[in-house]
Amino acid sequence: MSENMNSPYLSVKDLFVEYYSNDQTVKAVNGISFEMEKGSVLGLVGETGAGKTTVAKSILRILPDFGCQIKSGEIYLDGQDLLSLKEEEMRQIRGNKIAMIFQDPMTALNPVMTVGDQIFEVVKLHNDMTDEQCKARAEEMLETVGIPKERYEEYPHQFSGGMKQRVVIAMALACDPDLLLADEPTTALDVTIQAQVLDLIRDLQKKFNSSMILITHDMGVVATTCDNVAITYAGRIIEYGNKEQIFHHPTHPYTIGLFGAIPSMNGDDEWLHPIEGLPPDPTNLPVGCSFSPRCPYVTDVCRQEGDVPKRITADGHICFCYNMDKVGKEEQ
Amino acid sequence: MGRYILKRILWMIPIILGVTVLVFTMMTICPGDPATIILGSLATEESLAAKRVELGLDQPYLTRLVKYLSDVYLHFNLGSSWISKISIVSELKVRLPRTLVLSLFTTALSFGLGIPFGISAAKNQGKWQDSLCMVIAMIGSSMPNFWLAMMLVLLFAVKLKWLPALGIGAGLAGLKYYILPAFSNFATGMASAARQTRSSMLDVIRSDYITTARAKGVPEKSVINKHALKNALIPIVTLMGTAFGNMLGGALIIETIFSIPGMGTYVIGAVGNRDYPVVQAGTIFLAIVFSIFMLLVDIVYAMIDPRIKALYTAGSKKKVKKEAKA
Repeated sequence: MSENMNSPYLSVKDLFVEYYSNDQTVKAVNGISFEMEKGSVLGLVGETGAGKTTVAKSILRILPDFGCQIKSGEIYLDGQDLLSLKEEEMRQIRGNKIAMIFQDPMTALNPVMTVGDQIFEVVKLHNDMTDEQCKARAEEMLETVGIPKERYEEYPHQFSGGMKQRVVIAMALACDPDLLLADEPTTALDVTIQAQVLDLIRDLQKKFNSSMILITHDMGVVATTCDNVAITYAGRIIEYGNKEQIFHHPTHPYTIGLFGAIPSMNGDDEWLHPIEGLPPDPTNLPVGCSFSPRCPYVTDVCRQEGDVPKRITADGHICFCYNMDKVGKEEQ
Repeated sequence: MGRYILKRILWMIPIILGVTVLVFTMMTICPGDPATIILGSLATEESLAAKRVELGLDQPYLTRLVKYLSDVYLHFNLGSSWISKISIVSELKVRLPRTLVLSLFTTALSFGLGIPFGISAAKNQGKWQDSLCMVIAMIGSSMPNFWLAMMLVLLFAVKLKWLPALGIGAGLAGLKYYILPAFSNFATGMASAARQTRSSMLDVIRSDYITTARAKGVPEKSVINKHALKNALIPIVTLMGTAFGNMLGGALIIETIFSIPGMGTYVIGAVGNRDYPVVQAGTIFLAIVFSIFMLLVDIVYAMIDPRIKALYTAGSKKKVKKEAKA
């Protein structure tokens, strides 16, 4: 196990995932690789359809059986190859070592089961405890996320959106997971509730010392929560670095575009600066760099066949861009 | 919940009254003179007129309607058949259970087979099990019940001599007389149950809470049986209500084919003979049976879905909450 001490806690290597529908192949994830340390928080940032959720579901292996396939890649958790595990072994890990918080609390809870039972179920599955102990644990989790345990017997429709998300969080954390996958946990919530829920997730993640992948498209959430950031575009990571590197020295034209699209609170801009164009059609990705059709720095080399080479700066900031040396320089 | 059931039972009263008035009116409008049918076309005009007076047909429509309603609902007297003179109540007592057994048997058979077919199709979407179940469903819905009845009789009664071809028997052994009739009428119901289960299961399986259950590490079997099925059952239960109605209707044909002296043969014979009291009483009782079944369906609903249960109890609960706040 000594070699595991040096190897990263979670590593995803060259992950390719495809969806199939009506004879079309949707290339959702196209060679994503990243690593993360124990206890750290990685922000997976990108537009809708960039493959963020698919990555999380691949780690947990809960992609739908029908019309979806992990084409290739390796996912190691604590030195264990998750993709080669048997279904039964993987089932032991789900909800136990790895847990997921879902995007939409309105639909993530089973409407015909009491919230208490839904937490009880996950506790019972992964712990060798009596029913009374499991129930006590479920009640304790409800209290932890700020719901009185008297509401154990209530059904999801009796809870508000923010409360439901708390239940989902309680469910995810009930077995002290080592790795927490939070898939846009605040997107479906009211702005006023977002901050509360985010604080709750962050506090509990620290308390349980879990690692966390936070999937979001909200740069503000990333800034307050994450240690490292991976920017995804069209199923690839196009830039990876720690928070300071990404926020202070973004190098990929897309990342710069993302920051440009955030309204400045102290500037007097009349218009936002959106990134021109639309995300590429995942059934028909552009040749070469996927961002090239929208990129202001595009050159002929970007449209060449083949993957964009990975470039790493001395301090470990990773960027996939041919022209990263030119990017952002002309404005200064 | 108790209040809700009581409310629903009270609601049955206007429904049954409405059915009574409707059937009575339809029989009146219907062409054909009962007196002529009873006495034959050679009867003299005087005897026909006397018969009409005897049957009360000389009275105006409204007078007869009011008399009928008061007979049935105030004196609980359904009268007797104009043709056979046998009391209708005594006939219903023996005939209604037969039709009920046949319809319930058929409904149980079609859903007992259709639901597992649908689940296995949904679980294996796109695989051979799915295609097989859907082919069976297609064949099931394309076979007319009278044709299937003939084929089953040919095979199991005539060739193999396993089961009786027609008639009824007494006691538990008599149940075997219902096997062929039930199987003749179950195919269409099974097909729609299988299709409804499949699509409803597919909807549920794709929903987020099923992904949540999988992400919790719930074994696949429990995901289907515990998480998915209960949610998927809601539209299936609705279908069961209407399917039971269809089975009651289908029983009329099946009873004729298999010479089962049930409600179907009774009412159809009475319609042909313009035997008004029998048609009216038969329809009223079928309406009552159907209403009770629909009430059961609604109760099952509430048992499955807490949201529906909350709707039923919402009235009383809101009041309690308001009082608590004040």
